[in-house]
Amino acid sequence: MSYEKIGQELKELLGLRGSPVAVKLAKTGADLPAGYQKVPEKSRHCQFVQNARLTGTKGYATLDEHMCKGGAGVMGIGPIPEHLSTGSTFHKLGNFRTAEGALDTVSAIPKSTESYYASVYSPLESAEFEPDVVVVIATPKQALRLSQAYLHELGGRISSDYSGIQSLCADAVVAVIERGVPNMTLGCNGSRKNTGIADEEVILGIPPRNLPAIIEALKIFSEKWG
Amino acid sequence: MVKTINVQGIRAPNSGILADNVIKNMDNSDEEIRFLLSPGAEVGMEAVARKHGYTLETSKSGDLIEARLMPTGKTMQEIDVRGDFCPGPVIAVGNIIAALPVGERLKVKAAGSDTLEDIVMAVKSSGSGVVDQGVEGDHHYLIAEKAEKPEAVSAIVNRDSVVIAQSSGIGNAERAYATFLFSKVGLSMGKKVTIFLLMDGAGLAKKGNAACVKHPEFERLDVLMDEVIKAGAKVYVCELSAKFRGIGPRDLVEGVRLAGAATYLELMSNPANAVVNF
Amino acid sequence: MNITYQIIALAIMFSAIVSGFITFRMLGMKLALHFGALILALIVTLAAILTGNIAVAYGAALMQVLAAVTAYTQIWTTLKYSFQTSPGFAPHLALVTMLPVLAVAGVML
Repeated sequence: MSYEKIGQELKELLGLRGSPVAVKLAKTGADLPAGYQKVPEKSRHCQFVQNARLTGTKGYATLDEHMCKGGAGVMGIGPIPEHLSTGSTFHKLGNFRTAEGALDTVSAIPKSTESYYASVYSPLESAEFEPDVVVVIATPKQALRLSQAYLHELGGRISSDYSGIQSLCADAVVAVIERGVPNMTLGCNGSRKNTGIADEEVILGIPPRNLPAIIEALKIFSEKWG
Repeated sequence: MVKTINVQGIRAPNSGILADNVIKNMDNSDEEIRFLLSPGAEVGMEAVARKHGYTLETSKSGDLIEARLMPTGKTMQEIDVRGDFCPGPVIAVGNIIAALPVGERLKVKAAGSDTLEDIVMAVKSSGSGVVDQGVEGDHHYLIAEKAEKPEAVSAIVNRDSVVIAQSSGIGNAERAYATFLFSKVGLSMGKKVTIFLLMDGAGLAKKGNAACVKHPEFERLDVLMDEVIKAGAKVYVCELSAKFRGIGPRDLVEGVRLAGAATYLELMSNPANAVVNF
Repeated sequence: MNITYQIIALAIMFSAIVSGFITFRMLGMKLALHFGALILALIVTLAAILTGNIAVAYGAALMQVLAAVTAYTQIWTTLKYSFQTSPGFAPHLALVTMLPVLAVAGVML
């Protein structure tokens, strides 16, 4: 698939601020796309996504480059720190009234079933690799169009699940890779505070294989609905 | 192939909506899908399955519910090994499992629990698992699930168990006595002792035969054999050798069990077993 | 009465003492009954040859048959279940099985 065209069309048809982001999870060093360097500085996964989206930064991040080990961990890069996997951090942070509730949530967070070496990021239209998921940060109306475009092919309904924590890592990337189904998520304290995702923006993760049909549908909507 | 997706925490009806979308997005419509759901979330799965032409089966998996959606018409393979004797059943089952994709299941119907135990041994030895076992009507059954054989971990092994392969039977008194005296010593040293009677050794398994062996300096062999069995030694007799000699399950000495080739192979190839031949 | 058959039977019985001993050792020194019958048959046959007495000859023939029969009755179970080890005591069985024919020939012909 030529992502150059798809990336461009997605941006234009939806009127996105920034680019859709191609994200790939590389199993080993050999799996990394040729010519890609490590990301310029250590940060969090959500930041890497924002950087690719807004400043066109490409690169890959191994466990060392991931400052947020929780984000890396759910994606299968390194282990999930215990204080996160037991829920105690989120309990202390105030997200949950009881430790049991915290544990219930963290147990159900989508987690990668395989382990990976690094995550790779690029704006979609200039990605030189086959992404595992495409992350789009959009306004609710843009998300509406995307949802309608996804359902245009086969109909049905969309169910999105999230828990207000680990949004860009677990909900937008891992859940979509594991299930092969788009997911919408509303961000989390970490991602919104640290990366500047706007109050009026939401996040969607889309399986690459759905994109051609989505683009077609968006074009049809553009003709019919303006 | 079987695809397993953990969707715990998602309640009905969203679980069903998600399942619907997963199926729609599948590349291979021949694949079985398994969803791991929180209890209660399986409500609505039946409708999704029917809509797409799948059959649904649910079962418990730890604290979660496992919902298996199988393309209809593609049911679990079954094999009936009743009427066949060792090593036929083990080989037949082994061949089918070797060809199965990981995660797929096979149901095996057998007449006796001994044949089944042998098949269990063979299944586990190849790395696969047994997910269900029991009695159904007039026969026994098990359900095996193919899994990847895990990499062997090299380990320093304590050899605390002894396997005695006895192939000379009642026609050689010295070897027969050695078998049980050796077992006695092993048991007294705290070792786990297993005796596998094969070929002529099967003769020892028949009620009354060991009484034919007597050396002036020792007690009658059947007395010694009984002592050893009561002291905890496990005694197996090769099903094929027994059949060769017209020995059936009802002819066996108390405490001796029929076993098949898979059991023997497993005993021989387990590095924790010290093997001696008599 | 042809003495030749009795002499052949005697030769066989001498041979059977040796093969019998080897066999008994392997089977655990049992078969005392058979061994006794064999030795007795040997003695009585020798006596029959030396005395030429017809009664003794009949006694010898009877003992020879008894020696053969007791070999089988005592070894039967082992023979039935030991396919691999039975070649070990085949020579002895083969020898004593010759005795009944010679016994009959020794008195009839």
